[in-house]
Amino acid sequence: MYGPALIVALSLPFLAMMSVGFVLPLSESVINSFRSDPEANRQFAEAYREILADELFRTVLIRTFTTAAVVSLISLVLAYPTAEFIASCSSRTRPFLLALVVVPLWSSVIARTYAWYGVFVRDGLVDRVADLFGYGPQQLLFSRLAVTLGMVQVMLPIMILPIYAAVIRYDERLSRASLSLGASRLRTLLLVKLPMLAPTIVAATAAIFIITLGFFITPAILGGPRTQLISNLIWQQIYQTFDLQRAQAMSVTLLGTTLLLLLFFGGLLLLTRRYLR
Amino acid sequence: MKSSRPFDVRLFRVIGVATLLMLSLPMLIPVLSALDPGEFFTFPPTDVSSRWFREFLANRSWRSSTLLTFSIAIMTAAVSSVVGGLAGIAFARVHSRMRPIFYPLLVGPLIVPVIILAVSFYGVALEYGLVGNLFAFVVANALLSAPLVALLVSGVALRMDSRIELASLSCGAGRLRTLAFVTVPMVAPSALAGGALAFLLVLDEVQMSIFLVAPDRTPLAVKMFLAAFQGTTPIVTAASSFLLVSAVVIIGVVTLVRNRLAARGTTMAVPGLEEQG
Repeated sequence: MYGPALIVALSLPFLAMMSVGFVLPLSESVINSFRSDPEANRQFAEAYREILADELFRTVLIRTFTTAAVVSLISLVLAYPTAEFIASCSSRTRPFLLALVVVPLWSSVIARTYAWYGVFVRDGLVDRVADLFGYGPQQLLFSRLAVTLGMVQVMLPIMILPIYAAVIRYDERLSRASLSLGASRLRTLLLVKLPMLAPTIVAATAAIFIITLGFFITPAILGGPRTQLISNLIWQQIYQTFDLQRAQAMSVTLLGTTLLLLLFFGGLLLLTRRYLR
Repeated sequence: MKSSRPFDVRLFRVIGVATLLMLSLPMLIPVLSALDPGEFFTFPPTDVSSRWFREFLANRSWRSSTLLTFSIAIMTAAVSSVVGGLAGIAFARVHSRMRPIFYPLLVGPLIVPVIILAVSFYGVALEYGLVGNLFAFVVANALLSAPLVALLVSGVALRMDSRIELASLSCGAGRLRTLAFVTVPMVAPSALAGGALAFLLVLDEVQMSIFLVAPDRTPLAVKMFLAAFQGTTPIVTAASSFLLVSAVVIIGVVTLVRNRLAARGTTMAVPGLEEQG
């Protein structure tokens, strides 16, 4: 109704900003990552050959993907029952419980991560509790457990809210029909309710997986060299080694794998939409 | 009798309560720990004092970081609500066949791991001497929040009844008049809510900004991150408390305004509050 000229005018500032800040820099990153660099004694695409031959890069890349898988799985296992629990509360308590989810969602990740530091640090909360029961210091800081827990806590709100929305929309009469026809509760949950929620669950899990691939703050603060993820490694290339081209090659590799994953999840979503509904 | 919600089971309740506690309780840790006057970050605190809050406020470099962050945050909020808001209207009112052109720019920056954007943006900023530039900080942050506002606003614009706009046009108001007096007022609350959330995102943004820092030009979140990464000082807990309180205040205000507007029949879309149904 507004005509092409006005539409273009409205979107022009946005398109300009995204081109200058997102599309062009990204293209330049891709081009530059392949470029031969006489100063660094690199030939065409040699930065890629270097990082792919680098044991550390491969380990960290694989660790990033396994961590993303573990974090999304734990988040899902915690998020679905939580959504179900909030939905089963009275309409007066629900806003209060949802606030417990929404406030963390929009609060500082550094502050929320740093909180766990106080839990896991030597003589922190865990050690003091362990001491009460006669155990020694647990040395959980910089461990995989600490990092995973910190990341799960950051991701949970993003997982709970859409699943809660789907649980609220679901017509509970379907379950009651299934129950009254003699199916057990477990059977009803697995064969009636969860299939209805599947598209939301797949989409939310995919979102958590993709976001977890980019985790930076939590592994750096709660973890150490043995828990660092790909974003931390890329940051190091610039912050400590001053090797921009290597960082760009790593970024482009990460971008490629992320896009492949998106295709995979997109396909999965199409399949669940087609066969489970 | 089978309850009206067949999946109100004890297992879900236990997991739900535990998850909600795990989400919300850590928010208190930095606030309580900042009250401890000791030299190290400890939780639970052993004594109460305002020492670290005073040091946070009195320290010249922390204060300048806080002020810098606030200027970036205000500018980013303004830029993203205007630029993102206008693009959101355009996206919702463009012919549906043209929409796929916008889509990568709207969703791209939100799903691509931030470190990739950060490395690319840094490459360009380095080339043009924009490291440490206030404008570069604002654009870097707006790249992440303008698409969010655009998605939010386009969602509202798509749901609103476009016959109102058609009525305005058929009554003789021009396109610009209709845009300014019908469409914009209907989506403005959501664009402003998006701006408020952009403000909160800036307070916490590390990955984009960490490459752009210059001496005396370090945003608060980056300073906190580096301090927490290199060791620990209780000033970070004081800064964390400050960020958490800001988040709670801003979310509180946004929620209140949203409820007021809803009572008058005006929509204000806020991510996290939308799902509550």
